[in-house]
Amino acid sequence: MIDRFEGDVAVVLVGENERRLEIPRKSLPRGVREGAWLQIEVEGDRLVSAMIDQAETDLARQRIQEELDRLRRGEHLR
Amino acid sequence: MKRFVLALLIVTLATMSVILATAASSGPKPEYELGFKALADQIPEVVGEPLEYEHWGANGDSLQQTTTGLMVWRKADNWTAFTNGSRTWINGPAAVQDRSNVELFSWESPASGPQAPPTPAAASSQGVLQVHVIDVGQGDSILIQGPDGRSTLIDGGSSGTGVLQYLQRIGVKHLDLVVATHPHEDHIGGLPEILNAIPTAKVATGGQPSTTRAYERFLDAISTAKAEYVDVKRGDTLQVGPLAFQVLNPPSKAVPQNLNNASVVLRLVWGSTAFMLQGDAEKEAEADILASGKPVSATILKIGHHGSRTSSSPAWLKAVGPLVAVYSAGAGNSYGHPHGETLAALAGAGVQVHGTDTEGTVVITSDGSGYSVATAKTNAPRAPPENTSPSIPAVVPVQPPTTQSGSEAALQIVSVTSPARRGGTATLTAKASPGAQCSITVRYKSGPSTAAGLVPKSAGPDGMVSWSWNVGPSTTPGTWPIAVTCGSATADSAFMVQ
Repeated sequence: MIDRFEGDVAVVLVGENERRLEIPRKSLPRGVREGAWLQIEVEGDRLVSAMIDQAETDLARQRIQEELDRLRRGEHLR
Repeated sequence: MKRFVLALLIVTLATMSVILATAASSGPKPEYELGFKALADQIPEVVGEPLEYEHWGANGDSLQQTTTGLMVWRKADNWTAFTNGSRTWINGPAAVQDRSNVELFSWESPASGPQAPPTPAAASSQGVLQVHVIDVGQGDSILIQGPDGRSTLIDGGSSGTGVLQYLQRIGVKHLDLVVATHPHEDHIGGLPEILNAIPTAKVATGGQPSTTRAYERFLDAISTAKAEYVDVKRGDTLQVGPLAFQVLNPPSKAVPQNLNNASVVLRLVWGSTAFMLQGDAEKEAEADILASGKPVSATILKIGHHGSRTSSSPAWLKAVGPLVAVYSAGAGNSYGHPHGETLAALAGAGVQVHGTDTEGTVVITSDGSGYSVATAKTNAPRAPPENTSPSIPAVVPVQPPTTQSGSEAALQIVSVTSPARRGGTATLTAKASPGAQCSITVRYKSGPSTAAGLVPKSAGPDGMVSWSWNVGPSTTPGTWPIAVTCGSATADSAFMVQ
């Protein structure tokens, strides 16, 4: 998933262990935003292809929003 | 009598930077030497084991933290003493005698004993605050320790960058507050391991979520740690003991979609010293804060976004008006942080700049009337920008002068007159390596002082060097920076003119 943009560089966190990959922003699909989940193909540190995984992004957004709401209500303290 | 106890407490806190740093340093095990050994040999159970090397305190006393208290050689009366916080043992004229801290022996002068530097009572009662801008490579992590020992952590760097180890080494056992400025991994990635290991009372964020796994792990860790969770907005105050963090960003309505601009920006006022800690807030957020009309002036500015050109607008720097700017960035990072434009703007404004990429962890200490800046390393040439592998350096402890060796020995400001009166004189004493060539710059509003006493000097055989100068009767009152350079070492301080 894309953690952030630093100027023309996109910082992508790859896989379970969130390996940090820095790739040119222009090599990513147009209109891609921070937080987007991607299906990517890499060779070493080189990006071969990238596709937005909208379904996974939406799932993560919903899951995270629910957890944040639980924290706000203090349900984890009970 | 009461004043004596207060002074003792202040000195203990004032030496914290060196104490904490030494506790974290490696190398041979510290031992008691000379007068400290003579006292320790007589009451070994009382004084316990040394935790650090002997070093100079701010008032010229020599100090050494132990497992049970503090060893002190008192410059004022040349006695060696140990205190456990409530009682004092003195190797006096009739061998070792002990007394309560609130009493004095007849042969002790009331002025003797561990004392604070000459600061007004009002400022001394503020106690000592420390802000550690921790070297986490490319990322941010700032620890604030209040005079009551309460700790606040702002951001935790990327995962595995050593913040947890740094906190553990300096003895942080509880966090009263953790602030995640915004959800980028270089600010929150390291927080889960900290929340899992150090009991934390409360976590505050700006409320803008991300959809990354790093952010989700952060939320999971808050839940598991059973820390209270709060969103903060402009106008809120986060109170940690005597410290009141003013929340200047995000705005109370319409939190920016740009995560950097949604950063929690905090201002902390401590006596005459104020800190502005702006996370990764960029120019748009800076403009929005200025438009809100909230006070923004600060002595010390942790500049936005690792020194990126996307932050630190001229209007912002002018309004904040810092004497010292600190940025956190990894040596040789891929983004070119800090950007040359930012450094040039700061230099043009006469601001002293410290960065973790060249100097390691930066620790700012303030007693409410002045401040001092200590860095883990002396300023080294910046790594070339074409180096694209972000290094993840180990956190380097701030080294006390006694553990330094060779010609690179550190420079420490031992004392400075503060406050100084207009039309009066001020004195600064520093400890450098013996024989080092030293120079001093005192910068007032009107520019560098041209007082006759501020000439280059050589440090004595004991490393001590001292300057006295006249403070002009028309000097603008305020807190003004002092820079001392001895060989390749530099040290910053400041003094108040009234």
